Formats: sequence, C-alpha cells, structure tokens
Amino acid sequence: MEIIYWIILFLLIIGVWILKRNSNFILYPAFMLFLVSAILTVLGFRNFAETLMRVSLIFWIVGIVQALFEYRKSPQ
Amino acid sequence: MKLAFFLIFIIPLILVSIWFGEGYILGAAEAELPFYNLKLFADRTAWAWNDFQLGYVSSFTVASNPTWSFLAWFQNIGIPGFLIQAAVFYSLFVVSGIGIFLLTRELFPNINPLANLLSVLFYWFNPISLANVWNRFLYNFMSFFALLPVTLYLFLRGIHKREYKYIILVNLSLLMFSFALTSYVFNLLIWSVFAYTTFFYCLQSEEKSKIIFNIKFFSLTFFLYVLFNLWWMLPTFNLFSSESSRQAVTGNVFTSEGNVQTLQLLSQKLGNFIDITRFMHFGFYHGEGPAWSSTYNNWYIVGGLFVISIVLFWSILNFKKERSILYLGVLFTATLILSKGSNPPFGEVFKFFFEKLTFLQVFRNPFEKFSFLLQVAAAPILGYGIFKLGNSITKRWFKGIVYLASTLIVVILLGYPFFTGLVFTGPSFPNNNYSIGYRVEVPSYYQEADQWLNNQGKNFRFIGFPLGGEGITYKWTKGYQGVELSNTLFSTPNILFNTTGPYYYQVVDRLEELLFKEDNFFKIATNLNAKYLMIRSDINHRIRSMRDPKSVENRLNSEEFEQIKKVSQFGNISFYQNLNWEDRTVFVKPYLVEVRPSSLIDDLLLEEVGESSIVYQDISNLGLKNSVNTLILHPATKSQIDLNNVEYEFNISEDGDYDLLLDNNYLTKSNDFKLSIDGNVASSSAKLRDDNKIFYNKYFFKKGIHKLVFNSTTVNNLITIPQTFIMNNLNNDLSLEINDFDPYAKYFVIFDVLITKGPGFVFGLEEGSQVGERISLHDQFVSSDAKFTDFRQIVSTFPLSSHPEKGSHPEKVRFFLKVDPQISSEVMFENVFLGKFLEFSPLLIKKIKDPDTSFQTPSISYIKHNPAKYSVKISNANQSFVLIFSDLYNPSWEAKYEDGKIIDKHFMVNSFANGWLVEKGGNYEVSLEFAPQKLLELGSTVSRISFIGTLLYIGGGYLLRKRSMKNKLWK
Repeated sequence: MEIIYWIILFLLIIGVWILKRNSNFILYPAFMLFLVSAILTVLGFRNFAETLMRVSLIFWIVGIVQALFEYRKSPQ
Repeated sequence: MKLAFFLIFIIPLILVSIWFGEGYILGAAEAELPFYNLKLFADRTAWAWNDFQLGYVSSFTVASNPTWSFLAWFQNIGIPGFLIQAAVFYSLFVVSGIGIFLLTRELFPNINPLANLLSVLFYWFNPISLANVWNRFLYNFMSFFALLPVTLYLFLRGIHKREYKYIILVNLSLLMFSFALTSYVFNLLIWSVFAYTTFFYCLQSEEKSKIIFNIKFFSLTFFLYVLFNLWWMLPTFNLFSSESSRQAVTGNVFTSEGNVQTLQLLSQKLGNFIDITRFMHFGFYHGEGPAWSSTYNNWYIVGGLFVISIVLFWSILNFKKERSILYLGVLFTATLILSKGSNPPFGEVFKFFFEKLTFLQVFRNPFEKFSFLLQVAAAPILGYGIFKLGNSITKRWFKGIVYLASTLIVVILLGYPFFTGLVFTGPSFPNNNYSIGYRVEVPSYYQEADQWLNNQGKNFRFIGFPLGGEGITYKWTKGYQGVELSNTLFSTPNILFNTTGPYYYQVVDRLEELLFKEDNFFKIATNLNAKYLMIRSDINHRIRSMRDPKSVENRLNSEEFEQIKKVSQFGNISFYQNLNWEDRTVFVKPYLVEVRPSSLIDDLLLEEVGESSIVYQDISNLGLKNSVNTLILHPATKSQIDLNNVEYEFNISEDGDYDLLLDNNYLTKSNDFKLSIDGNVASSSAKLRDDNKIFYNKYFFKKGIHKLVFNSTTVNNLITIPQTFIMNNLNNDLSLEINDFDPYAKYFVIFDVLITKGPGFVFGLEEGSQVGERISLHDQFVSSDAKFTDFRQIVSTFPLSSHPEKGSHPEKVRFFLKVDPQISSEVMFENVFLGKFLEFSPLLIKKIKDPDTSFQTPSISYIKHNPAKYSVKISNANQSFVLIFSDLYNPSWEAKYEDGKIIDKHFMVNSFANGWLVEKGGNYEVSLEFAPQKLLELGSTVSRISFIGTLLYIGGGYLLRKRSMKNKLWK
C-alpha cells in the first residue's frame, strides 16, 4: 500500500514540473486536505483521517520545497 | 514589552509556588532524587568510573557534573533541596521563556508583545512540553527544552548580525546547559539545527561574502564547541572507540535488530500525523499517562488543538514569502516527517538510514526526540500567525477576541495541568494519588542509616534485599516510584538493584536465589566485598514483583546463617553483618580455577574454589595455563527432550578424568533418575558434599562433544486433581495447592480440554486462596472458537519471563482454573498435569595439579585516590600471583608498574572482578587506573584553557574598545 504515497509524490512532482504553477497551486489543496482530515479526526474517523493527512503532507512537502526555490529565485 | 517580560518572570514563579509550596522535593521516573543529596550526585559524576553497584562507567554523565557541583554548593550552605529544585525549575522556565521570546522577536522584529508572549506560553504549555518534558521528568530533557531556543536565538543573531562574538555566546550557552549534553542525541539535534540554519541562509544568499561568513560562523562555532566540551567528549568517545570497551559497557542490550524493532513499534504507535500535528504523544494521552490525560481526547479539546495546527499551516501558507516563516516552515515540516519515524509515507527512507548509520539509532523513539524541534519551530510561527491574523482584522473588539481566544486556548486548555500541579502526577502508585504525585519525602531513618554506614569505614559495599530490577516503589508517606534510589540514599557503594549491564546482571540475578538456597552465601558476599546485608521493608514489593522482605528477614535470622548476624535497625531498614568479611577491594590469590564456557558467581561456592583460589574464565587467550589448578566445565547447551528427559552437552577440551557434580537443591525432591553418557548408561556412586553438591561419579572423557541425558522416570504432578471433571457457571472456580513450590524453578502445565458452551476459560498461577487476598500471578485465557469441536491439548510454561513468582509468598502460590460465572459455560477437563521442568545443573571438574604449598602470599596495602585510581603497595612477592580488584571487569582498567609498564595479562575473575597476573617479585607499587579518567583530565585541561582564553579575549576586546573610545573622546 505504501507505494501509493510514492506514486502520489511522483505525480505531484511531474505535475508541478509540467504545469509550471507556483507553490500555492499545491499548498492550498494540502491545506484543504489538512482541514478535512482534522474534522474527520474530531468526528472520530482516525484511520481515514490519518490516510488523508498523509496525502495532505505529501502535497505540503512538495509545496514547501517549491516555495524554498521560489524564494531563492525571487528578488530580495 | 515590559509587561510581557514581567509575565515571563512571574508565571514561572506562580507555577513553582504551586509545585513546591508544601516543601517537598519532586522525583519520579529515571531522574531519581538528586535534590535529596546533591553532593552525592556531584561526586558520582566527577569521575569516569563510579564505584557504586559493582562499579560502572560514568563518562556519559560527566557533562552533568558542573550543574550538580554548582547546585550542591547551595545545599552545603544549608538551602533545602526542594528550594533548590524550585529555583532550578523556575530558571528553566524563565530561560526557555526568554529564549523563545527573543527568538520570535529576532525572526519577526515587528511582532507585537502580546503575540510574542503567546509564542512563549505555547512553548511552555504545549502537549509535547507537558508529556515529553515535564511529566517525563528527565533533567536533561528539561535542560534541553530551556537551552534550545536560547542557543538557536544566539546562533541566528550571529548569522543575521554577521558578528563572530555570537560564536562565544552560543558556546557559553551550551556550556551553561551542559547537563543537556549528557544525551548525545541532543548534541546531534543542536548541530542538525545549526547545520540547517547555515544551509538555509547560504541557500538564500546571493552574495558570496555572506555565504563564506555563514560557513565560517558554523565551522568556528563547532570548533569552539569541541574545545569547550572536550572534558566529557574524550572519555565518552573513547568508550565507543573499540568494540571491547563498548561491549563492556552496553553488552548486547542495544542491538541493531532490537533498535529497528523498537523504532517500528514506536513509529506505529506515536508516528501518526493526526497526533503529531496536534503535538500529541499518542501513548501518554491514550492510557499510558495519568488518568486525567485522557480528557485531552474529548472532541472539543481535539478540535481546540487542531485550531492551533490550522493557524500554523495557514501562517506558513500565507506568509511563506517572508524569509523567517519559510525558515521555520521548512524546519517544522522536516521535523513533522522525522517525528513519524518509519511510519508511512516514506518511512522506508528513515528506516534505511537508521539501519545503515548506527549512530542514528539513538532516534529509535523519533517522536520523543524530534518533537523538541517541533515545538521550537511551531511557537514563533503561532505567535506570528496570531499577530498577522489580528492585523488583518479591522474591528478592534474582534481583534481582541482573537487574542483572548488564542491565549485562553493555550493557557487554560494546555496550561491547566501545569497550574493545578497535575503535570507531576502519573498513572501508577503513588503518583496516581494527586495529593502525592511526584512529591517525595524520604524518611529520616535513611539519613541515620547512611551516617552509620559511613562510620563503619570506606572499604566495603553492602547488598540490599529484596533485590529487584531498576524500578522501585516506596511506601513512604509521600512515596516514590521510579528508578532505584541507591545512588541517592546512600554514600556507601551498594548493590540494591539489577540492571542489564554485562557481567553485573549475571552476578546480581543470582544473588537472591543463592541467599535462599545456599547456607554459605556469606562466601559470595565476601567475594563481592559486601560487609553488610540490608533488608528494606518500606518498599511495595508486590507492585515490583520482588520477594517479600519478611521472607528475607526470616532467612537471614535462620540458624543456618551463623556467619551473618543482625547488627542494626533504622526505621524500616535493618543491617546484618557478614562476619566472614575482610577487605576485598584489592587483594591477591595464588591459584586459578578455570571455568568454561563461562563462569557463574555460583562457582565461588564450590569446594574446589577454596580460600586460595579465584575463578577465571578464559575470554582473551592470555596463556595462563600454568597457573590453573582446576578446570570446571558447565554444559555448553541444555535441551529439554521431553517432560522426562533433559540433555546437557559438554565441550571437553582435554582428555582426562572428570568428577560429575549435580545440584542438590534440585535433586532432593526427585532422586529417581538415570543418566546416560553418549548413549551409555552411567554408573553412580552418589554422595552429598559439604558444598551442597552431589558427587555423582568420576568419568573419563575424551576431547570433543559429549552428551549427558538425564531420564527422570517420575515427574510428579504437583497438584492433586480428579482425572476428569467439568466446570460450568456453578462450579466456576478451582484453586489448588502446589506441592513444593520453588519460586526460582520453571513449570509446565498440560491438559486436554473441550469447551462445549460459553466463551472459554482462564488458567494460571495465583497467590492466596481466601476471598480478597487472591492475586493473579499469571493467567492465560483460552477462548472457545468454531474449531473447538473435540478435546484439545493445551501446553503452557511458567514463568513466561525469568522469575516473576519471586514477589509471592511461595507457600501461598496455587494453580487455578476459572470460567465466567455470569455466562452459561461448560468446559470439560482431562489429565490436568502441573510439573516442574527438570534441572540438574551438572558440572564436570578436572583436577590439573596440586596447589603449590610453598607459595607465600605477598602482603599488600592500597590507597584509594578516587573511584578511578588506586595505588597498591606489594611487599615480599616471591613468585607470580593474581592481583584482584573487586570492581566490575572493564578492559579500560589498567595496572601499571612504577616504571609505567602496563601489566598486560588482564582478565575477569570471580565472574565480575578485574584480575591481573603479576609476574614480578620483590617490593614495588602498582597503580590501577581507569584509562578514560586520564582523557577526562586531559579534556578538562584543554576546555579550561579554551574557556579562560575566551574570557580573556572578551575582556581584552572590551578593554581595547573602551580605551579607543577614551582616546577618541580626548581627541
């Protein structure tokens, strides 16, 4: 099952590479997924919430690394 | 701003007033009770070797010595321990508060004081701080909690301001909190954060000069860190530099396989994002913590904690273009990923590095360690996020609500256990009594006993009974549970608990059984240099599965123990003197008895190991054959073929006649057996010897492997029970007496069973037969399932671990069978049999040569300079002899002649001690020194010079600046 997380990561990197969108494009869905899984946790759906949050965090990792490069490229 | 600082100083004052207002010191877990006697802790950590227990390496704890010495000074001038502890806790809170305040301000200079204060409150009261730092109650964790924001602030300030003086300030902060450095995982964490900070600022810099400065700043900080900390680094790293010294300290306690298993188990439990993002330690808040901690699982508190996480993620998302948010955001995200360990996603990567780089295996509990970084990254983001959220609101009253709500969530929701003192309570007795919690009051008789022991001399140790593991529970008015307190309560070296250290464990694990089974136990005590035996009756032995102190007392008072007499009583502790004792700190013996494959402390009781001999196990091929008089062989392997047959395999290294000895303790009740050697029935001429061993016969063995099979024709059923019977909800409870129960033996139970109705049944061992006093020692549930259509044979063994029955009264242990009386059940039993596993403990003994009667023991005297150094004066040595030093064997102990020549034949004797074969006659001096101590002294000198040099550099720089200012003014 864990291979699915690598596939998601791979697809996200490819997506970012091809679509050439900024980090918000990926961080906003990450944040929304985080919100949903937080609500699910409050409601007691721990297992499903955890899976969703893992996906959210994969989005977040890709987004934050992208943000790091954006900051470097931006005029300071 | 002033108000914020005022609160940073005043809130901790309120907290320590609540915690220490009643005048008790706090103690629990692995931290012991240092504030009861700080001087003892200062003494213990001053040397690379500690003479407590049987002696152990203390290099790891040397880094805590300046702290203990500093605090001991206050206790010496009469300040009570609880006040010093309160002051320490206050300081840690204030320092961590100022640290996080300044760190937040450094990263976000325009933040308002209220939001800045919020980051401080969150850092203090977040769930990680509660569970992993304060409730965990480890002083190095607390110190690291305070140090991290301060040192990170100074490091960042240096990078921002581009001033090298911050290198000194960073290192001074590390030196001041050197206590935190006793755990090398914290050293790794600090340097990981510094490395990340340097990398981040290099990555974000366009100017080459800035990049060069950052790298220089990092490198020089590290260089000065090494110089300042060489005093504890040198002896510690030396210990792990060779396999033999590492083995002598840790043995096989921490194996890579074990660490990987631990990592996976803890990652599965603690590494879920839905918990980590709320800063929650899953175990603590789901049953492992105090009862009140489960309140944090209520939906509204879960929701409240997610509000904090949402603010954090929202802040990173919206303000990631600001350098400081990006810096903290990357750190926060990286720490989140690391905290989950080997859990998905991408846990394979963590596991890969964990397995390949063994130094990373200190992170086998990743959440516990990385969560320190999680808090320090999150606190400033939270403060800034609230500040930005407030700024985005135009209506003043609504802005006020945002600040008020966030402060209330942090202070009331998270701070409640701190302000009520619940943070210092635990799940088990006595910490689960909220009026006690971690409060401890040591009875005054301990001080009297310690004083009495000090008056008896400084050249002995004592053994305390009952003997258990590392944990202890005391039944004092304000009781204690946690790590055993022998280091804290007594200044005389002692053996009061067992732990998994190599050599030590094997010796101490046998002591209590030998005390109960061998009338000449005093021989063991003398060889361990134990002048006194102590009985403590103020412990909760039942909780700790220890033997009842009363049964130890009865044993010591029995007539068989002529050599052991009661001499003193202090409250609930009593002392018995070993009349056979003579100072065995350093002594000499002429003869060696070689034991293979490994020696046991029990061997010292054999007749062959007389007054002039010592037991020696050839582990290093030193060529000592000429000094060996007798050879003792233990079986290389033992296997239980079936219930009636047990096989022992011996590896004979040389042809010859061997005496076969059997253990009388096991045989008195089951003499009915036959022996075959290599398949041939062996003849017997058994007789009991004075050392309680049975001489079975003398046999000739050729070099090679030989198998001895004992066949016991009658293995008795130890319970009286009908052959067939039925249990149901009317006849639901059967408790049977066990004949001749031996708490140190191993048992099996075997029976046929058919469950025709109901959920199943429970069987096991219990103590007591009266209603209200029955305590289950082991129980096993057999559940009925679809496959239960015919009789099934159940086989089980007791004990499941080593000797859990020790805690019981052996005469009260019973076998039980139970079905649930509330549920309609029917269970048929046949042939229920409880038996004892066969144990003969055979030994083969070969006499090699008669002792040399012309040998004259050289006379010796010694001076103990400190626990790590002794001088031994030897007079009238006329031939080779063995010099024995009765501290735990460690290859780093060195014996040297006056000319500095090392005595190279160093080996373990008497199953635990250091022995050297001294091949020099005449009168001379030998020094015994623990080698890492020299490194500690060398490191201390370098660190002192570096420290003084740094102070001179600062002072000189200050004077030069002052002079140039004056000159400018004059001009």
